[in-house]
Amino acid sequence: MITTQRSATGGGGLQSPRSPSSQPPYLTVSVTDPAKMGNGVQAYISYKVITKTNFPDYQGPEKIVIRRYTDFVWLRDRLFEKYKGIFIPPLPEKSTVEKFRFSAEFIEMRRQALDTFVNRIAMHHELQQSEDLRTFLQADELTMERARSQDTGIFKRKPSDLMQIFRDVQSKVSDVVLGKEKPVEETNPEYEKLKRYIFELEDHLAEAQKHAYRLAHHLLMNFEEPLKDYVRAVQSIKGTIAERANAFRQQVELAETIKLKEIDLNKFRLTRSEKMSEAEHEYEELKADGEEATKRFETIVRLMNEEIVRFQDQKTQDMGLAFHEFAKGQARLANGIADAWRSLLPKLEALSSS
Amino acid sequence: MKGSENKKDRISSSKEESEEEILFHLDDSSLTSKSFSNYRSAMSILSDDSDHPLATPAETDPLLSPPSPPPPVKNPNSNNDSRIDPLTYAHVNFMPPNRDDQSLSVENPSEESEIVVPLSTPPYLKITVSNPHKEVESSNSIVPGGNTYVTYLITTKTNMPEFGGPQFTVRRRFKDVVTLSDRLLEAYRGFFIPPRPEKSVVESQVMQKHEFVEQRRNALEKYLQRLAKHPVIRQSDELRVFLQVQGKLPLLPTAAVTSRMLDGATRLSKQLLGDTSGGGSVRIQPEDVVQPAKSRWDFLRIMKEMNQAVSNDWGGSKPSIAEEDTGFLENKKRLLNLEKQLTNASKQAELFVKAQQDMAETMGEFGLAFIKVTKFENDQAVLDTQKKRAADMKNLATTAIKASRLYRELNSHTVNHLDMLHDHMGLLLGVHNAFSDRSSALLTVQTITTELDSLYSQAEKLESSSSKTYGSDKSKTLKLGEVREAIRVTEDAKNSAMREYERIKENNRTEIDRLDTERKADFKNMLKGFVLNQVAISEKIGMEWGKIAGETSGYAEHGG
Repeated sequence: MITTQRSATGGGGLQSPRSPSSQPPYLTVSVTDPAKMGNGVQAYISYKVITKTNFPDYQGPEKIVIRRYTDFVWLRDRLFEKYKGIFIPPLPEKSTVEKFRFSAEFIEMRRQALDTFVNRIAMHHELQQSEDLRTFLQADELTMERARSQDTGIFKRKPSDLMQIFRDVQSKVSDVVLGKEKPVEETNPEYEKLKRYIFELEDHLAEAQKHAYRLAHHLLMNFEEPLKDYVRAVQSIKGTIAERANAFRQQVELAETIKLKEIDLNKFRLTRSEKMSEAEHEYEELKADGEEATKRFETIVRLMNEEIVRFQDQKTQDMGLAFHEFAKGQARLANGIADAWRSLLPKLEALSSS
Repeated sequence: MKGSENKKDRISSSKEESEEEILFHLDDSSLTSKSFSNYRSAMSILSDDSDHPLATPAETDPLLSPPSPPPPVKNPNSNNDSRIDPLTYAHVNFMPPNRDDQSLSVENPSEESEIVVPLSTPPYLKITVSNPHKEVESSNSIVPGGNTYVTYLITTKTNMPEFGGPQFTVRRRFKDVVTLSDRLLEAYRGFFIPPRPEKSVVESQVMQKHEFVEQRRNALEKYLQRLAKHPVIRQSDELRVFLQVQGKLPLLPTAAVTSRMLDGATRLSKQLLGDTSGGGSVRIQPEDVVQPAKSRWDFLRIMKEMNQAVSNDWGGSKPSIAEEDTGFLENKKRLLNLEKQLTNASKQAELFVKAQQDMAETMGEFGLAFIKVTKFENDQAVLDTQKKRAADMKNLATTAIKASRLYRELNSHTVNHLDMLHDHMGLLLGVHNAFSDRSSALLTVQTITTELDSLYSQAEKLESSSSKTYGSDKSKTLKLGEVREAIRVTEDAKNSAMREYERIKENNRTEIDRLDTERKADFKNMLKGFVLNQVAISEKIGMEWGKIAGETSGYAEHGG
């Protein structure tokens, strides 16, 4: 529904009568037609996802697939893994209870949130190039299901990730043993400020959301949803902050390990030990790892800086729109009430004669 | 006066929180509690205040010590000149309906002169109650500290000639009001007299002192104004004496305590018992029968009447004089039904007011929450977009708070208007009293009739047997003379009682008509005022939101 007007690759959603190749690239997605599938406990809602695009790798100009909520979750998780540093758009909550009721309101709100989710990805100049996005938007249901079941559950983690987990545990243990319990953290004052801002923002928004919830009950005006979306976005940012912290820690730890290895290596060089060549080999490997870790971290930092600007921009836009809709609705409601009461006045006047 | 000073503080501090200043006067910790208790207390005080005509200059009468500040209600009126028509129309009806006789003549609330008005204009009688003072009972009691009680300043403004002055004041205590009420009830049987405020001993213990005094002051004012509204009562001596005579109230608590009645009561009860054996002529004053058998000295008479009542209900024969007026009975039924309907309407009104209150609170809290976020974003803003968003949020929050205030204003007027329901429910209590005046007068007539009948049959018996027995002639003749005398007196009493009964019936009749007319007019005004308020305020609210919607319309062009 929302077209890629602000994507970095430019291009509006207009379809000019020129030939497709000279048209600016566009990618438009809509999530529609929720349909209840299955029965009882296994019931779920499926959605039609319609993609209109002229991107080269995509089957254009239009493709329709059927997706369910867990497919969206898969997409979000994959993007989160692959694009560290970028604020992945948030998903509506997975509700296990409300699901059973499947009220029309709930379904519609979820559909809208999912639509916004995919569109934000499609609009993002980096994320829109993701392979996983293409799979999500284009693959047939069978492929999608396979991909989804592969990556869910505890087996989600690839072997390298498992190693990372062990290393994490290892370093934590050694930290405790060595008596340095303090986690390794960046000491960047601007970043500190940003982190604090994000955490406090979440609290403020949560409170505002509480009041919007009460208001919604009174006025049937949904201001709650935009606020919820805001909160989810902030939570997603927290995820990215965690990733950045991870990357930073890895970098620091590797640097330490490298230093230690260097000391060992020098020792071996001096003693002309037979372990020297092996140690050299390991040392080179570690150095490569270290460079990679540093690069990863720096990428995240760079991306985050860009993302913050984009996020603030988008939020101002989103909230501005939400305010507008809310105010419009309130005005309509109040004027309707005034009209209704006003219509009584002639009848009251008529009473005087009776 | 402590009460109004508090009001002043609270109202001015809630004025302080005008849109611009909110951001700078906030600090997060005290935010929700302080400003809301301000709102709530200002508004609850406003709704108690509902009887002060809201926009009249008479409120600044120097006789009423510290003049209460114009309620915040006025502010939106002065701000918003753009929509003249609904506002001025609605403004007129912001006046509490029919609180004084001005409303009988003209719907012109702002012109209330303090000088006496030429006699050709319709009569008006305006009473206000203010300035409670604590005073000590100057009794010679052993208990130190003495007994304290509260007096209230009663201010009357009138153009009625009986009062001989345009304006005067007097100090009275609650006990005086009870006396006034009791005397009116005795003197004006058959009239629909508004019920006086209750003594409420429990409440006076439970509530805060100044809150209780304020509540009572308000209730007293309402009561006196209702008395002033009644075309007959307002001309009564009792009321005039209450309003004018300085010093101790020269009304006795109840007519039955006069020495005349003391004797009269014992005489009456003797007579009703048929106790003529003591010799000596005991004369019933016929006036005695026109009072209801209330005082404790009358308990013998009460007994007699109770017997009569029982025999009316359970006895074999119907009394010769009974309620036959079908028109009256229909009206009675109708009024009882009306009472039920009003009770129902009152419950609905309560729910409605509560809902409006909820709305106001929720909207206000919503706005304040956003003010907090705004302040936060402003403090932390690094990028321009953040500042812009903060500005948008502030506008939204400010509008929400404006809307909340408007809802509160609407609610306080709604309470005002719907209070008319309670007024009339109160009057229906007066109706019950008036109808029972009628039935007790009837009962008195029936009792005397029964008495008379038995006297007649006594006389008959004596007459027919006088010729039979020899020797007891003299005592019989004596006895017959006594019975005949008793008959004469009792016939007088019966005539008196019948006249009283008829008088009360007539009062009932005129009162029913008067009340029906008054109620129609009152309710029509109430509904009109209520609806106009709804229209005016809803329009204002719609306008505020419309403004913001316009200002943010730029965002809509970007999106879908």
